[in-house]
Amino acid sequence: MVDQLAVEYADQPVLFLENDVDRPLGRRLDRWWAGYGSSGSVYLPLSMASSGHVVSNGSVAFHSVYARLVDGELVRPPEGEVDAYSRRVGNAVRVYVRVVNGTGVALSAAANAATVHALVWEDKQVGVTGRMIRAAPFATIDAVVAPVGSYAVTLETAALAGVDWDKLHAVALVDYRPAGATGPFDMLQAGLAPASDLSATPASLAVKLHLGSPEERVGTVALRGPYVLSWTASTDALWLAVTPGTGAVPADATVRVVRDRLPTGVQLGHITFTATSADGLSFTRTVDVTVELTGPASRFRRRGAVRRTPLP
Amino acid sequence: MRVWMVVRAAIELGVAGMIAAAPARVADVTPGSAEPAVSGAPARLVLFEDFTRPT
Repeated sequence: MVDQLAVEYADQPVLFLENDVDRPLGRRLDRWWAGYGSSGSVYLPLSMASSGHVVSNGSVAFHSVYARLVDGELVRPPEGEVDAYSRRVGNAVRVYVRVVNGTGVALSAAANAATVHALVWEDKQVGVTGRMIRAAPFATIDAVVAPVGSYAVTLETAALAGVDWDKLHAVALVDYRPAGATGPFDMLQAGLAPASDLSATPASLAVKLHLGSPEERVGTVALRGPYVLSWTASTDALWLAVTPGTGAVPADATVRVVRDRLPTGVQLGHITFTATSADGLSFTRTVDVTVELTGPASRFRRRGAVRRTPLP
Repeated sequence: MRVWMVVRAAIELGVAGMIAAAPARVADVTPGSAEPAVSGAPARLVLFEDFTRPT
């Protein structure tokens, strides 16, 4: 049934995953029980969405019940952001996670059991479905993250054996207990964790500037990647500048021209962004910048009119 | 000639000033529109987990 639902929801932001109930990983089964709300006998399968915000157990009308759980979650807006990247390190998976608190309350392990999880799953028929979770490392949020504040953590699995590495994927999520120390958990947001990379967008910038105009700004380059990256910008043209010139990812770098060093005509320069991390990540991305410096700006020029001095 | 250019510049500046003073068009609003209030807002990634006993 879960495989069938995965096909039916393929064009929607829904991820269906399977856990082995006899070998619970991380803190996922805890979330089901917290959502169920009491102890006692329950029947397989146990199912939940959004870390136990809604749960089901036993033999139910699977398709309609599960679809209703999913549909109910789809219409809820996220209460945060999750930006995640993954990487194979030996036989383990390392996941870099940065979350932004979109709730109206501070998140912390002490106040509301706030936790960041990574689920590493294999797209392979291992159990009942073709999407079995292989590892679920987690970390409680050991700080107080105010609303709109961010928190970053690196999670890593134990060494994984007997897996097809080409079929492994990772997703990160953050959850908490809205009622405080007890009660069901709720997931703020989840985010797929693609292979670690640095993106610098757009890949090229082009602008036309006029002599006499004070305009210096060419555009902004968005740098995105694992939060552990530190970057530096360098240029190959004296007329080209980037501010700031260094920083942490994510960042938005402003590209400017140095007016008194900018020759007239069309100029092509390049910005090289180099980003590295203490644990060995290293990326280089280049952005092409084309600037054309033309005659004085004129809002009044008409055919046949002659003007010798630019108007203010 | 110089006087005419100054006068014309003044006229054009006046026109430009009128354009600048015009209120910016913010959005077209259709009452009862089913469009979301904030387009482009990120959606929730729903995570559905099934705990089973592999046979």
